[in-house]
Amino acid sequence: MIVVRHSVIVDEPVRQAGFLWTGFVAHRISDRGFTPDEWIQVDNACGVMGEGDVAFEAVSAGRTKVTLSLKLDLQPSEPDTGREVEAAYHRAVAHLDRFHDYADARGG
Amino acid sequence: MDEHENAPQTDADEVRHGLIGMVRADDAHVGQSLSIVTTAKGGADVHQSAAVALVSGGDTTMTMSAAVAMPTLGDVRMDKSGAQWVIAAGDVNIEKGACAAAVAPTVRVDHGAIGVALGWHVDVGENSRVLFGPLAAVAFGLAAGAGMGLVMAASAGFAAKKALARLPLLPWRS
Repeated sequence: MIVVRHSVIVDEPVRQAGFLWTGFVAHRISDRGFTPDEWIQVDNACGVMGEGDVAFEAVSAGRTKVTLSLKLDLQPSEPDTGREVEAAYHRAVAHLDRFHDYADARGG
Repeated sequence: MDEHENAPQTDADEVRHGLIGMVRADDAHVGQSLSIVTTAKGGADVHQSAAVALVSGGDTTMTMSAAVAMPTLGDVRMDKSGAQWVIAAGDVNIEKGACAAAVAPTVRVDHGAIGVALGWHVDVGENSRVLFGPLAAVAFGLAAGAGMGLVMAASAGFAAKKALARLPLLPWRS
């Protein structure tokens, strides 16, 4: 099992960051025909990218660190593992960058 | 505690500012020192130091330090440190560091790089690079060659020095 992690800090309290994440995920998958609540419950809001986990950690009263962990069912010795890990990392970075922009636009 | 120790061998648990051949301790605390071999029955805490081999029976913590080989029975935590070989029975955590090869049940790296990570669980954190597949095999081979070369050079130098010391006076040594 290989886990790729990336995090971003948003200028929102942890509770608000959680709400914004839910809204962000709903926004991203709105054209995929999923029910956001059910999807979030099943995939913990990482289904866009694969199996994973998201964690919210308060770094101060008004700032939250959002960490996305993507689980890849690969072995280190497999030839394609390097490329898969790189691609997953870039997806995680892009996804969290979008969330950061979303939180900046919607937060208050 | 040995302060400013320069000796071929010491059994002190705490060594600072030393140039030591071999450190043997129950729980080793080595700071700003250089040793060839550091062994600890328990944990080892190495700070701003370097060792060719760092062997511990417990958890090992390295801060701003370097080692060639680090076999340990506990967890390994490396902070701003580098090592060539890390083989641990516990977990390996690397924060702002680099390692040529890490073999452990769980290998985790943040803001660092690992040439080869062999573990059931490999966690690649932020701004980190872990090589996998054939590229990793090449890196592994280079690291192995360089590591073995270093160890053999050190061993040969040590053995030559010992052998010359036992020889009768030779013309070029007078």
